[in-house]
Amino acid sequence: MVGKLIKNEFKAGLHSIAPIYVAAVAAVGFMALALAFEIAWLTAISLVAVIVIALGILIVTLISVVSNFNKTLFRDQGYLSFTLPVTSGQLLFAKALSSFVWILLSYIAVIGIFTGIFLYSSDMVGEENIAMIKILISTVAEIPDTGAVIRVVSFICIRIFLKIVCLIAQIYFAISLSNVRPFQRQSFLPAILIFVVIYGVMNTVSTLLTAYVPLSIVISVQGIELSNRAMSAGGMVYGVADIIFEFVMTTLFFYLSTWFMNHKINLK
Amino acid sequence: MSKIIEVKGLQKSYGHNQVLRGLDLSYDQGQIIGLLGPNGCGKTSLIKILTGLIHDYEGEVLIDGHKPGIYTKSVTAYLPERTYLPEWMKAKDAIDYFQDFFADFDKAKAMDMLTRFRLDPNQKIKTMSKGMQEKLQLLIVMSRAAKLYCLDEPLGGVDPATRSAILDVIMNNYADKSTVLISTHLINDVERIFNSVLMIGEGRVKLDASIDEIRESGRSVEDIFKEVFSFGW
Repeated sequence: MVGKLIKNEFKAGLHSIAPIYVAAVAAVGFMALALAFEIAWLTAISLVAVIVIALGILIVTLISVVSNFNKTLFRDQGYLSFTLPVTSGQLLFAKALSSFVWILLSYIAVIGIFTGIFLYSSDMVGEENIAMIKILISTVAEIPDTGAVIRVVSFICIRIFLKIVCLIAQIYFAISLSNVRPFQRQSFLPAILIFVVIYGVMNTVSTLLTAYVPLSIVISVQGIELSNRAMSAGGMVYGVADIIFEFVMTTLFFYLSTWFMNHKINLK
Repeated sequence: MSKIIEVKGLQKSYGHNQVLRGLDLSYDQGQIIGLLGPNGCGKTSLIKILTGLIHDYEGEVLIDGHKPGIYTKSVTAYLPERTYLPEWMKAKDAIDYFQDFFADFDKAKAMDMLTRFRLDPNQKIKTMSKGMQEKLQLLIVMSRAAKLYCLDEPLGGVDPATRSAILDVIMNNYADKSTVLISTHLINDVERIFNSVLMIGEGRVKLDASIDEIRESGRSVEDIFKEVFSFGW
């Protein structure tokens, strides 16, 4: 059943998110044509369009994640979702997984688009671009400890994944709590307020834990290492306590969202 | 054989407003039950509890011997009084969706009814009129071979001809030995199909009788309804 839920979640997401990706492909296509035929005015317009659409991808994805969760569980469609022969936890998992993929895809698309624009605006197109990629590959190949590179990349990926999952958990928790009886009548405002509060508290606690708990993961030119200091002079520092806190809170937010669905939320 | 519906001491409140004040019900399989009562008497709340949509109630509720959960949802077909299908879906997507999740769903039967209702399988739900959406929901729900059908106001807001067509769909398509619970205000239209009548008011059972018992009294269901709920007239 979880597989079927996931399949249908992706289908639903595709309907709300796909149009912005189609627009992005079209805008990039126009830009490529304008560059190829050296039409200055079309290049300028398509460049602006690409930037706007790139930001639009992030916004549309987030709105879709929020709206899909709220509409399909706590509005009319909830009458269908909650009468399927599945548990609330399975519903939440399928939604979280599809949201994760859409958000990750939006990050990749936006990074790709802005990298392309940067390369274009730096006049690093064509031969120069290929030359730079070759230099990058040879630099990585020359690093003596490739294991360290893999560890750094893996750690950064896991960190980004955890951040996305934590964001989804906060959104789901805020929406679920806002559908509990005392808040249920006030439309969308309680969800926004709850999200702002928990987002602010989470970031403050994370900053304090990173600053004061003397255990961190440091990424520097030497690779990745565990340090018994809270702060470090060189490299990127990730507090271990912060990562543990984020993981625990993410789990707690998902658990509480499911608990609210099972015990406290009556559909309007 | 376990009862299809067994409810003991069911209570449900919304804040200070208590809508169900200790209901006791018990029904065997193979009945068509009319759930009647004035607005706000708790009909929809009762149906939501039976279908597993409301969890914060007191008392005991068993469907086919099980507490509301995955099993009971797999044997209960629910038609709410609102449109619950995603708007982006086409009619055929909605049918595929139900086939994905319900082992008792008969896709061929659904497609056949779709044709008989003159609904286009490729039409998006958001472009359908309210009446078309209601027909689609009804045919999807009635394409299941469920043990219990909970139909909440299936006749609300439709003209007499459509009412008759809807009743025909219900009568011709519910599975053998199934129980159908129909909540409605339109007693005259549905009286002929009931085996039992359950009237609830002020959160309590006001009448729970078989249609034979009512007929023996020489009165119609509507007469009894007016008598039981005279406070509201």
